[in-house]
Amino acid sequence: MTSISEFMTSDHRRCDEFFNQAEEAVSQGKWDEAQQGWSEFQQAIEHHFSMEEQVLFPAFEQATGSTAGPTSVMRMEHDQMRQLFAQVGQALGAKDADTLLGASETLMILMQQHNMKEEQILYPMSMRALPDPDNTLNEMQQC
Amino acid sequence: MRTDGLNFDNIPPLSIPYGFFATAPLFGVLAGLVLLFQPQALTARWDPAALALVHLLTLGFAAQIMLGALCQVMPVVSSQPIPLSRTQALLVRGCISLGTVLLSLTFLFPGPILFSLTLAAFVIGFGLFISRLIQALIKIRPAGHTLVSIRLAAFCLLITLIAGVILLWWRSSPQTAPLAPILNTDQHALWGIQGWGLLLVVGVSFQVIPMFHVAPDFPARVQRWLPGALMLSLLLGTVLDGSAAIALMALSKLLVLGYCALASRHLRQRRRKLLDYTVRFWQLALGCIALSMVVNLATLGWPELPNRLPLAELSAILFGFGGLLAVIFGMLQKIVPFLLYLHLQRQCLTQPEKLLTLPNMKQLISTARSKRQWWLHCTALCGLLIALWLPLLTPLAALLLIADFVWLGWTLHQAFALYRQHLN
Ligand code: HEM
Repeated sequence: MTSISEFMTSDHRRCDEFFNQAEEAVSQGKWDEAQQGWSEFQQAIEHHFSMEEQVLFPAFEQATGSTAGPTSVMRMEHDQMRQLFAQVGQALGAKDADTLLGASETLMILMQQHNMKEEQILYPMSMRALPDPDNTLNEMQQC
Repeated sequence: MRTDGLNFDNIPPLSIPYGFFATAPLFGVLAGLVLLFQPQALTARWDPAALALVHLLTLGFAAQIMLGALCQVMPVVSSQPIPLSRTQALLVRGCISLGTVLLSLTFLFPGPILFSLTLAAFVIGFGLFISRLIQALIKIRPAGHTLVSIRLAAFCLLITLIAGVILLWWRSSPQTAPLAPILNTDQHALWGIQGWGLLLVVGVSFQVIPMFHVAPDFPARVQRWLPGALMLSLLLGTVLDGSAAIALMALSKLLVLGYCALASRHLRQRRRKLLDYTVRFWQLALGCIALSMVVNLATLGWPELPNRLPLAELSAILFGFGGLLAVIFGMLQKIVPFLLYLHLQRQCLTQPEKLLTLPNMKQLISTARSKRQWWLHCTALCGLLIALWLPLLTPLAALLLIADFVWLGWTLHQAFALYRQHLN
């Protein structure tokens, strides 16, 4: 059976894939495809965020007795990414490729360093801290 | 479980990494000036100007950038920031800068006074930084693959520094030197360039090539064994001598060649195919490092070759300028705008209306700017290579080198100016 780490890491990769498709379509001027790819990406990543914000983080906070630790930083970074979603969305509406690719590059790097912190630190730590990681994973998958 | 030792959000104040990045290009320009006025430095190996040139680039430029990048990267990969305050960082930067200038002067005017000053500056600068780095590193476990490389690289840096100090002692004040050079110049250079420099490049590439360019991950086995194997072959190659050492050296060159092929393949398989000059810099670097290994292997096989061809210089320029420096130039095109953006965003989190007007990374450093940097770097590289055979052209190569570093410094400065403008 997969672990929280494996499951969430592969979900990161799935989001990257959609992101990639949208970005590439923009760079080729295929706006319809870009729109499609972008909304798939948004859906995938918001789903990912809610698995974390609604299930994993609260469980982690309960297990460690702290809401001020790593999860608060992760929540803040989610908000930072949402800001960039808004910028990309705006540029997509305006078909402004330069602004979009600039914002998406920024988002990409922000997202990757966020994922790295989660994959290398937070997920492994959750698996050690949570009383029943498999159960938490189940709840996340039903999210 | 304790989480209070974790500093997830401990990104260092901007002035720490940015300070290192902003100082470094000045040393590149200084190196260019040395070459312009002492063109023989390119090929005369023991020429004081040549030694000054090497250290302006390795210590003044490359080491400062790498220290700055380490300050930034450690909290991301490990949640352990390097416990260095702003003032201490300034002290490190000041001492290493001063030490580099003093070292260059010591090469030109050997003597015990300059030597003592150089030594003091480096002991304070590197001593403080390395001790803080070790403090952070021992707190981390288990260590990820990047950290293994960083640890080994830090070890190589330490060996290089110690060996360098002893060599310099012998050069400038042989009567007082406490012990004979443990490592000769070749070994000092090897630990510095192929140990410290290459291990950092390898470790960074494992992390950033899959991450920034959506390429497949490097095989776990390679990530686990390659840095250690590189280091071990260096270590044994230094301790042993005779044909065993030669065989090990050859083996380490082959390992590096294999790494270059693998990393190039991963880059080719990247799924993010947008025009990206960081990718071009990586491709240039891997190509040049591979070529330099071929040159080294040729020298190991036919030791009399360098008498006829400037192979040592060729390999050094390819590896150092075409390889290590190209990686640094390429990474800066991404790290710096990201860093500035991150700090702007943090400061505007409470003012959402401002957030939408923040410059994005490509506005902080445009693709057009990175493109020019790439061309300048390639041109300067060609200039240096051609000058090996046509020494008359060395001043031209020096001017290209200066242009390359001036453009880098100017780009960093412009990005910072835009940052300041948005802060107000
Ligand atoms: C990252 C750090 C360093 C790197 C990468 C590095 C690299 C090199 C290289 C490549 C050479 C060979 C130059 C040639 O063959 O023409 C060299 C020579 C030398 N280095 Fe360094 N170096 C470093 C730090 C230092 C330091 C801190 C010192 C002294 C305080 C030092 C002192 C010397 C001396 C004295 C020589 C000439 C040796 C001789 O006279 O035989 N190096 N270094």
